[in-house]
Amino acid sequence: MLSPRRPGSARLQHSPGGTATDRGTRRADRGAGAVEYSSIIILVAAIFAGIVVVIPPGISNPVDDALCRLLSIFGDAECAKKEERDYAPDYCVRNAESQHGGFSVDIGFVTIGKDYRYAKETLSDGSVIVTFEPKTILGAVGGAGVQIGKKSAAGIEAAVEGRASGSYTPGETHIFKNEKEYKDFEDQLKGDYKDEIAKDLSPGYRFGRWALDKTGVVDDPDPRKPEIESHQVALSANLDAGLGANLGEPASKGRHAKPENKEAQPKWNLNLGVDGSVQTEGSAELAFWRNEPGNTKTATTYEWSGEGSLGANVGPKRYEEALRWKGGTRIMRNQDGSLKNIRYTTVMGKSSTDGTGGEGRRGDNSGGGMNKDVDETATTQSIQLNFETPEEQEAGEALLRDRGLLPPTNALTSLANPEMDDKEGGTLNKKPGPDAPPWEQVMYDKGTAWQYESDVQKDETELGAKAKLGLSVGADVSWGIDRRHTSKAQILGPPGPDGNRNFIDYPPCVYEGKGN
Amino acid sequence: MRRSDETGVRWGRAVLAVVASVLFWMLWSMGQYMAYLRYADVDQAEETGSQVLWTAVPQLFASFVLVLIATLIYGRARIAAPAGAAVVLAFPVGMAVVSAVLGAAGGDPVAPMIAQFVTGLAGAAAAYLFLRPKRRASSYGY
Repeated sequence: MLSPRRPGSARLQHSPGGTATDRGTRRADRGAGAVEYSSIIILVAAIFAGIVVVIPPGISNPVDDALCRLLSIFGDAECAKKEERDYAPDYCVRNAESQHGGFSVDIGFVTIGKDYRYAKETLSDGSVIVTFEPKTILGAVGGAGVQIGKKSAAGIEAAVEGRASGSYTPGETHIFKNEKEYKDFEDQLKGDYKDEIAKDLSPGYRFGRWALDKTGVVDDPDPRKPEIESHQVALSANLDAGLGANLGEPASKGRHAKPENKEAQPKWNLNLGVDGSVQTEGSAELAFWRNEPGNTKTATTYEWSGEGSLGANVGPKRYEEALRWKGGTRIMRNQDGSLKNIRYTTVMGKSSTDGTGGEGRRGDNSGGGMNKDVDETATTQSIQLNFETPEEQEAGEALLRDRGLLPPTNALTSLANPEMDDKEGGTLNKKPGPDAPPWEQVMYDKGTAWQYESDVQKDETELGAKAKLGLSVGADVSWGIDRRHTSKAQILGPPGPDGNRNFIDYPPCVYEGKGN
Repeated sequence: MRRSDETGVRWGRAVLAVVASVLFWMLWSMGQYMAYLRYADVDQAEETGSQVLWTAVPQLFASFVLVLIATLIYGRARIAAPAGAAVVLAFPVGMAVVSAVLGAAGGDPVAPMIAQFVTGLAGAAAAYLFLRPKRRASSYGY
């Protein structure tokens, strides 16, 4: 099949030099092309220069961005860098579910306990974070009580109890890119669990497992290594005070009444009263992050928390209102020791509890249980400074030297009030002046800040008993589940027309009712 | 057939019957393990009822089939004799006893272990009674 040819090209084949007319036309074409092309180039350059000169920077983000894209094609590195900047948060929890179960035993003034916690969090970028934390608790407990009307039919009791404890929590955290990757891991875990059970069922199962392993039909899967391994040490102090009413049975007046039993009057707690509790905790955590090949990062986190509650019991019902605050600073370093980022976080929560249960008491022995439904609104704000260049890292080191674990002064207002109503972000969002410390410039240029409000539902159950067997002995078990869904989320956006960075809504972190 | 030839055949069949039983048990154990991994409900894996079900029922079937295989190879007519009974019952009964002893030594859960032992014996006994030739008024000299 012949390929189509232009008439001119056919002619050229037959006559390389062409006719006089052809040659004249080609010369004319060549001359016209040069002028036209030059004119077009000059015109485009003039329009482009006009746009760049006439439109001031920051007048409109879309125009600015379009220009930036155009400039980056011509190698404007600064503009390209601005284009790549990402203000999305590292860790905005869209929804989460955690379960825990544990026990504690009090012998005399010593308390020991264990609590196992499993948490699954889905982040704004769709990734899933799963954490396993077995906590070991060792502490001391002591208290004092006053009883009025001890030998009467009714009485009032006031008691104060203090508790101080330390805990060690090793943690393993797995990071999955998405829900599917997590489900695959979950299936593997279920298989491993069934394998563990099967091994102990019978010699037949043991043989089957061994034979299949030896023949290569099934392989022992390599256990997935956690991306983060952490070790947390915490110290907490607790002060409970309560005022309650009890009802005692009158001493027996019968002829079989034994005088030696007179002091051991059975008493029943009416469960009427009010109580208050204050708890403070401080913790330090060392974590190793292995989510980046060749760069095992080290994160040290220091947290402080406080909680106060007021409760009332009316028969089997319990009502409680509580306020909590938690603040923390995390310093992350690269494998070579250089600073990677610093994150400051505050969490504020207001909760109300509706419980059902009660306590039965007979002499010095008591036992009871309580099921609580807790509704909480928690607001979390995080501010993170990311350091990439040696200059930025030096600014970060200067920040640590100057402020220790405290946040930069321009972040304090915002962190102290993470209530989702501060679009301005205090002075966090302001463009730093020439005299500002260097870390404020890093924060303005590359810092990320995000805040989100979550609705938390907790279902907690506690069962406990105390007895006086020469020495006071007590034990309790507790388990619970909590689910949280983010209802509002904001991030500190890029610099606006006025040069300031403002909080803007961040829909990817808002839960829309899909999945857990 | 001479008497010595017949003894040789009987020994050969006895060995073959036991070997076949052993082979079946090995394949069965592997299949049982794979079926457990595939079909057992993870939420019920720790429940005693589920464990009993996953050990006792397969054991009942396996010991029945072990006797059946050994009988088919050794010859149904021969299992009525004590030697024949020993050939077809030795492996399933031995396995039930050894499993119980090893299970107890290895700290296996008690309920599934006992259930497995009982159903192992029951399956073998049921198969033997089912396959053993019935006594007849007239016989061919057996």
